[in-house]
Amino acid sequence: MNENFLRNLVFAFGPSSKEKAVKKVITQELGKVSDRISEDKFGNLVVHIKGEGPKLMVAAHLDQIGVMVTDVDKNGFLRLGEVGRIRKSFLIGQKLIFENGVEGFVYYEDKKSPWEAKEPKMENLFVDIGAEDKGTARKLVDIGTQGVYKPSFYSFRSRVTAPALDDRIGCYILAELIKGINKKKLAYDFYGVFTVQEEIGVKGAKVSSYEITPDFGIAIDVTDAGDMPETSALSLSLGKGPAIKVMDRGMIASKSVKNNLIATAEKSKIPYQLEVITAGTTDAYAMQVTKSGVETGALSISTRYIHTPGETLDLNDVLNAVKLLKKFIEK
Amino acid sequence: MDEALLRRLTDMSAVSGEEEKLHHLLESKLSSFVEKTNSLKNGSFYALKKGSPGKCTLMLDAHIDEVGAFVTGVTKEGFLRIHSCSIDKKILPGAIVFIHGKETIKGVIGLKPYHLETPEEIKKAVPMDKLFVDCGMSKEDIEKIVRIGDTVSFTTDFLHLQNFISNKSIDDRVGVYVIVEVLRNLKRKTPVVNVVGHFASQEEVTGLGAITSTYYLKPDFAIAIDVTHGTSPDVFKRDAFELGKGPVVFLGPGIDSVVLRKIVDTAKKYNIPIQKEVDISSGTDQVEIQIVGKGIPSVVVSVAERYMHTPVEVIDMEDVQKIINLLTLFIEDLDEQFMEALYGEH
Amino acid sequence: MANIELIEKLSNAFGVSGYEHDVRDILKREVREYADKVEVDVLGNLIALKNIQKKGHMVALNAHMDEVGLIVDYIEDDGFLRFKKVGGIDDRVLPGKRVLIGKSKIPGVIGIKAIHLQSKEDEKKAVPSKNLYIDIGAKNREEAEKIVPLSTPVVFKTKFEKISRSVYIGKAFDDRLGCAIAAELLKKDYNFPLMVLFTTKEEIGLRGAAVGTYKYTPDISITIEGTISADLPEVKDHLKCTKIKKGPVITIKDSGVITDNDLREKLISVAKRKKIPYQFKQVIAGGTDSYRIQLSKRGVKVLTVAVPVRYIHSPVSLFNIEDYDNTLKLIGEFLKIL
Repeated sequence: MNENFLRNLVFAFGPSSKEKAVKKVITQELGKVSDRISEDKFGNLVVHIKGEGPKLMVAAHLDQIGVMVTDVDKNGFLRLGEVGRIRKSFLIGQKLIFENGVEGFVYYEDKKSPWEAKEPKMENLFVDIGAEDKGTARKLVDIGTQGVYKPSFYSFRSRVTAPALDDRIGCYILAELIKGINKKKLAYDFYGVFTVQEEIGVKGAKVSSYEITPDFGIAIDVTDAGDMPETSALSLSLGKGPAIKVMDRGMIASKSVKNNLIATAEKSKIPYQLEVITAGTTDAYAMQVTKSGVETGALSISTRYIHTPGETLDLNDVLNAVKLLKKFIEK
Repeated sequence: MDEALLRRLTDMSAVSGEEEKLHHLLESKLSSFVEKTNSLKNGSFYALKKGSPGKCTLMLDAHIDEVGAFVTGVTKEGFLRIHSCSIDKKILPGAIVFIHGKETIKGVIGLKPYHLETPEEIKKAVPMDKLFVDCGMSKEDIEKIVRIGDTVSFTTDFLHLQNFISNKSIDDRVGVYVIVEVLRNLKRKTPVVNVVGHFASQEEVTGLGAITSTYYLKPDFAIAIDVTHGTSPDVFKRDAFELGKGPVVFLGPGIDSVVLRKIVDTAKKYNIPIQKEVDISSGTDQVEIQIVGKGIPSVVVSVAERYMHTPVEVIDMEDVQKIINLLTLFIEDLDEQFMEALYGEH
Repeated sequence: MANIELIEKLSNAFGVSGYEHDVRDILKREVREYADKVEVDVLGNLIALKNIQKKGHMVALNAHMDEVGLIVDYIEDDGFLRFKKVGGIDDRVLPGKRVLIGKSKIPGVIGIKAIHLQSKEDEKKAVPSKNLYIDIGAKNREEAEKIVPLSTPVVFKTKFEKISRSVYIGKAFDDRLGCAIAAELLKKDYNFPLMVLFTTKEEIGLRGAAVGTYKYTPDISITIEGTISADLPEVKDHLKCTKIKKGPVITIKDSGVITDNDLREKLISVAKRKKIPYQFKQVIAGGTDSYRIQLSKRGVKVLTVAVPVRYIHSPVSLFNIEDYDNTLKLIGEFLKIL
């Protein structure tokens, strides 16, 4: 496990459309193959490793959910809009960090419920950045400045808790996969794509798959674990292997890719789980509907508390995901 | 009328994602009517009838998938948990279903005996995540056959009800049937346009087939054939259409006016009664088809159907015959003038 | 300076989503002699091209021709017309309004039970549009259906007029103001290929724009809109979205896109340099054709610039001509640096 790389990914600032710092971490890590890295018109980072065989696109998204400053009031408080599906009740009481390093604390209009926030709405939240008036605040941030949960990284044995594991863990897996590629064994013409703007509508993957027009696609992302007390989520657990997607709200995984992933896992004795979720979708959806259709599947890491600052997962699943994908792309 | 074919089509199980199960039957039925048939990797199937001069291609679209549920887990006692976005949970208690695992097995959806329920509980619909399928097997045994993601479909029973017929998945196998019959009618004829029958995958979930096959087949105009709501005592007349009163033609801002006018004129010319449905979005494959590529002029023709998305969907075969006639005549009557209008007026 | 005559013609024109013919005809006449090529695609989008043979990045200006309205979906035995809403309309603005129906502009009124006949509970409740009806004075269904066949579109009967020195009222400023600006901008000279795309069916799911950039795909696209302004009493400052008379509205993020960060910075620097007032859209809401255009093929860099308009999607909206002029000027100056 390359914990330092994962830590750097988690600490890189990168809400949708502001993914530059994350790209830098990845580009540095992939130094050895850097001659094959390029950035497309839309900002996706593309690693093309030429191979004999059908085109395979493997995608993981760079961006994380965040907020955007929409107003600064006369006393220097900031108002926010959401970038991606942020969960408001988890936003209150958190430290945010903005793109220029300014930090702030999120609180709510508490006139009606002074102690606990009830059914919080974005429009009732505000951020205190320590500015005493509008003028001071406007020197620190502007309308449109984006922010994210202040990063942290906690690990205990194989468990990790950090914001933005959605989908820096996917970036980690994809980067490790790319680093380990043995060109001689490669069964595909391989495109690793680190996509932008997934959280606001799977955008990077959509234009990238139009450009590449792969024969097969795989997205690597997180999915809801269901092994917490009294949870509404379905049956996935941490540590029981990467999850091979059967379906989510946006897609039914293409049989060929799904079955190939299952067969590879079984043949190589890599633990796996099967994923059926009723909400959410991934870059895989965008790939599947491209042009005449791309046979697409997805590999997910079971994660607790997605879109909160405490996203938690098991690194054994991550290692097994890398292993499974490595076997998948080899002859 | 080939009722046996409709019966076979509705009896077969193919929940979204399992459409290839129908490809063989379609191929065997269609190969003698058309020049080309093919399965697509998105789960769709198509049949191409060449026209002369065939400068233009008309796509007839009906979806081959049916509503169903997906296995989401196995309880320690061996019951299956299921989920569905398209089925009303209220029809499930007391239903017999097929589970399509390594082999297809039967299961029943039971409820806790009402003797043991409170009067309040009995008034409430049971949520999907509280329902379970009982296949009479232990966890260990059932896990050898069924795994997460396997599909669950209604069991079938093709019925004649006085004037009407009933079965599961008439939505949209009746559309599939209509296209097969139209292509049969055209067998010895040479329309001016190519006609491609597109049997679409995944209409009930994502529209995958409509989106990606349209890109692949590149039709010049399209007609989606689907079902719409029929009247019943609990459905207001303004929201639904009467069985037996003819094909329902969809009108509204999302519909192509040139193709629509030709459909309506054809019905008038040959005295085929039609009903008119007005809405903003048709909620069919047409919505997806219209905005593929450079845009596809498209319309929708439907069969009025009661109890949509249940195992007991009901239609009138006379409506079906009228749609077959209408579409056959529509295609036979296409001429240069229509083509000019199709490309001229916009 | 604003071409008031054009704005008036466009605002008064009939153009419910899917039935944009009148608006398209006006615009076609307006741009024909300035464009190298004018095309209409199968979804009814009007595309005007200029400098198509010139090298360089193609820039698109786009605005939607359609407006929200109603469509007749059922006729009662006694001749009243039932309708569905085309696009988002607040049910509360409908009762007691005059409407025009179909190509021949049959007048009608949206009635409501007289207040004398309402119960205390009725008085407090908004009437859902499903329960409302249009009265065209027909005696029965047969008579009504002859005049107004099913699926006939309906617009609000509102005349464009000036109500104070720089303030105008009328219908469909969303997005006929954008149409007028795009048409005016086409008339100028540029040294890059320019495409002006007037889209259809925006209000029912951005449908025209979904195919409008397929044949000709620009590198940069600017959506020009008439956008939400809520600078009204009792609306908190941070929820006003935009304000009248504060200049063109530059969108950073709406519910569909984050506009291109680099291009937007350039646009802002043009505004600063040319001393053109501007404001940001301060509530992340609403989507525009930019959403579709951004994702055409390999991706398009998009910007959205708008005139702030109060009471959009209602029978009567209001804007300030200074905002219009500054929007026209800002985009015009921006095009000069491309």
